[in-house]
Amino acid sequence: MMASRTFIRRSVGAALVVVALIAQAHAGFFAQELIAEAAILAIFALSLDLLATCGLISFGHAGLLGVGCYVFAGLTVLMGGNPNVAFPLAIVAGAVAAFTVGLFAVRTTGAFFIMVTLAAAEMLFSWGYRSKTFGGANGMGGIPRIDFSAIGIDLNSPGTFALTMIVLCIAIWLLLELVVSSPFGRTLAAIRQNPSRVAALGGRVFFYRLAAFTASGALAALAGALKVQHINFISPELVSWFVSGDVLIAVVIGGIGTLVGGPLGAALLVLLKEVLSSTFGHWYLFLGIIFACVALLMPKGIVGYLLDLNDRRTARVAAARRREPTESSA
Amino acid sequence: MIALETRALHKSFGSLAATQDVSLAFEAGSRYAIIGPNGAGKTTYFNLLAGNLRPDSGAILFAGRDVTHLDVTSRAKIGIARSFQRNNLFPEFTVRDNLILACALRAGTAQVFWRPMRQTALAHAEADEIAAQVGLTDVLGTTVRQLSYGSQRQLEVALALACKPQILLLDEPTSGMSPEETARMHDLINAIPRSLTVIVIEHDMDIVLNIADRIIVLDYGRVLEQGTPAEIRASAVVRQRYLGEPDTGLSGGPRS
Amino acid sequence: MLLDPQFLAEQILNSLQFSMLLFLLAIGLSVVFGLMDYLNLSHGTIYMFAAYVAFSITHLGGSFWIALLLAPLAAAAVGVLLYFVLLKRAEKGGHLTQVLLTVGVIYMGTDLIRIAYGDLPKGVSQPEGLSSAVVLFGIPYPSYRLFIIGLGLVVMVALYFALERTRLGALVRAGVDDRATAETLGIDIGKVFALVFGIGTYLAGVAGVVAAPVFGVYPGMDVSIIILVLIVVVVGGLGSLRGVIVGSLLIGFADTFGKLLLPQFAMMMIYLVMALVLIFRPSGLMPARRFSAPG
Repeated sequence: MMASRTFIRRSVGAALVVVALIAQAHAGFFAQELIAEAAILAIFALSLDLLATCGLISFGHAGLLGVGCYVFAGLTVLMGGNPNVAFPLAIVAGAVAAFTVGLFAVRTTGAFFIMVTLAAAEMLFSWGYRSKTFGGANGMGGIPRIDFSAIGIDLNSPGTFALTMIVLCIAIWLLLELVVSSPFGRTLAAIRQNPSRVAALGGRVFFYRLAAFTASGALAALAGALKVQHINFISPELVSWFVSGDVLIAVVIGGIGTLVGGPLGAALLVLLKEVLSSTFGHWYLFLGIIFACVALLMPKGIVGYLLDLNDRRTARVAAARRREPTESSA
Repeated sequence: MIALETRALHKSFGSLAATQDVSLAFEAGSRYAIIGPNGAGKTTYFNLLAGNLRPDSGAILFAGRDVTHLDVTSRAKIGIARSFQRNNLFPEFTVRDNLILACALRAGTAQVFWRPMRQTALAHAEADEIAAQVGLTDVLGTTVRQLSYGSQRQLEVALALACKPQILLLDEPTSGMSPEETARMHDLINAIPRSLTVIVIEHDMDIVLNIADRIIVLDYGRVLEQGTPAEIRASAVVRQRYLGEPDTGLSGGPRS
Repeated sequence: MLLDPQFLAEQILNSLQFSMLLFLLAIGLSVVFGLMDYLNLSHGTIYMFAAYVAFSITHLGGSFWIALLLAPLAAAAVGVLLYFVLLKRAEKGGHLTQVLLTVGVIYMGTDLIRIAYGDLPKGVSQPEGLSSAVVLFGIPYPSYRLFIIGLGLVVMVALYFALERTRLGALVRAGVDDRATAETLGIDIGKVFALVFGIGTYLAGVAGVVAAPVFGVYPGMDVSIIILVLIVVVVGGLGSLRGVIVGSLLIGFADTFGKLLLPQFAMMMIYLVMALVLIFRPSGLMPARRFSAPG
């Protein structure tokens, strides 16, 4: 049965990849920007879903994104560093930040964890807002993009940038698929289902959760470093709790815990926001209604719903088989 | 050789003394049954042995080593494993995945993140072995949610076995089981190699009298009596407290 | 500067005042969470709603006191309505569902306020009787702020008696302690909860009105306060009055003195306080119930 579930998830992923590549190949300038935005949000969503695998729901992931944003911007703009070097450093910074916060945050139970992560992100937001280093509330521009000219790729071209973001997102998704199916990933899934039993079997739940949080932080920071490169700007709005809410709803719409749900939800959310904001003045009202509807009506998300359908079909087939003892497959 | 020992173990919850001054020694390789009425403190004692609870006072020694301050995970690692009174499994995993995970955790290969789980040959082989030992080979591919209650109880014990422990604590392994399932569990427990010390909390006296080398009777958190099945059956104290009273479970009939 | 006793006294009073505000908001959130395991992030939206209602009332010529009388009632009405129409549906859904639903309510509430009142901050003036300063410990201190401190203390005492001495209070404490047992004893937890929710939102409304002259009325005030309130609940521990009092005082003081000493890092100081508490007490300082952490 697990093979079927994995097949469905990866099929959805493959379909998404095809759609993304075709869209990118035919997109005009504005659409390229949307695609890049969706791909970066998809990476951010993947980082959140990785954490959700072990049952931890963060409502402050914008904070980890923000670490990537501020470290990359600081190293390149304020210190004149090479973006190619700043990028991996920003990722490491995300891992360190997540590790530090995780040391005590990961010991809290579910709801407390939500509140602690929210507060952590708010801490960064508050500093970014008041500190003049990065321009405070007004923000700061001039963020350079990574230089791939040595291999003939110009990231300053919107089309190339969008395509690179898609490729990067695919690579990260495939990597996470491997991690999730590894013993480590399966232990995370076990921890989500029954942490006390994992402990009773000799698994150090704290270490696994901390490792997941650290990895998640590194990925979120990666997304953050890409984000500031994309919009060529950094401001505390990038770390606001709305951003944490957005990525969470993206993951939930797609399907929490399904990995591919993150990118799917991200793509849908970017499209949705585009449609809403160009139609209505006060479109957060509609976004709020959508949040509420998703929460009450489809908490498992699109991919989650598909997996449930498949499970029910499998159970029906198995039950039918059991009722016919003459069949050799019983 | 004494495999496990508690000395003057004491645990209270507010004004309720759940475990009072319990000093017991468990010989390596023997089979023990802990019996007593509900509320006697049997599961509390198991919780103390396994590390789910910290005693207020007293000591727990494992092969002579003081493990009183070790947590659940550490105790599982050094060889004290338990099964639970209520099924405590991984409901979304199949039986096979439950066992493979337990074996991987024991083998220390669970932190590998660069290779898929299906490539861990050792864990797979061990899982199949335990499934055969316990009688779950037929349902290896079934999700725990869809498993029958009796099979779930078997998996409950199998997970504890997967830890390759030296001390196996089984908390009411047959609770809620039909007579056939109970008989299967009975055989299972008897088939466990003598390299393990097995301590069982049970209400079903048939099981108790058949598998136990020694029986310990708890009452209001204290050790009321301990001895061989014959000694316990003959004990005046036990008789005075329990024999003849229909609902304490000691009459040997099926539990309500 | 900090060593000047008069300045110190003033800051202590400011901290107390902010603590009272946090207390009024946190008690509703904490008891709701402790009783029903319901994480209601839209609690701050009720607070904001009451502040805007107070603005409207004073704007239309009503006095501050009329606003203080009516706005919390409106807040409680809206709160209870919100509960029955929307929030109740996520009771069994788990924390994530509750977070998503209440965040949706925040989004909706913020935009509705913006549509009705625009983006610019509004003001509510202090009541005339309290706009002068009183000399306390040798320093002039705004009597309005003293009023806030006094009001908070009165509510604290009233809640203490309500929880410890009344039947309803006993029901609430029983439900927080062990809901399942309480229900088997025949207690209609649903009714108790609706009442608790109503009182909690009423107090949030009081906080909104009372805070308006000091902190202003603006879109986004719901989020900026709710995060601090969440920290108070985490630090103080769930479901206990003492926990909320301790948490409010701790965070109130940390915020006031943090802003004084290191304005950029004020939030960081609060976060450090929370982190320290969680390291030694993962369930908070005085929870009604302690959680046990696995592994």
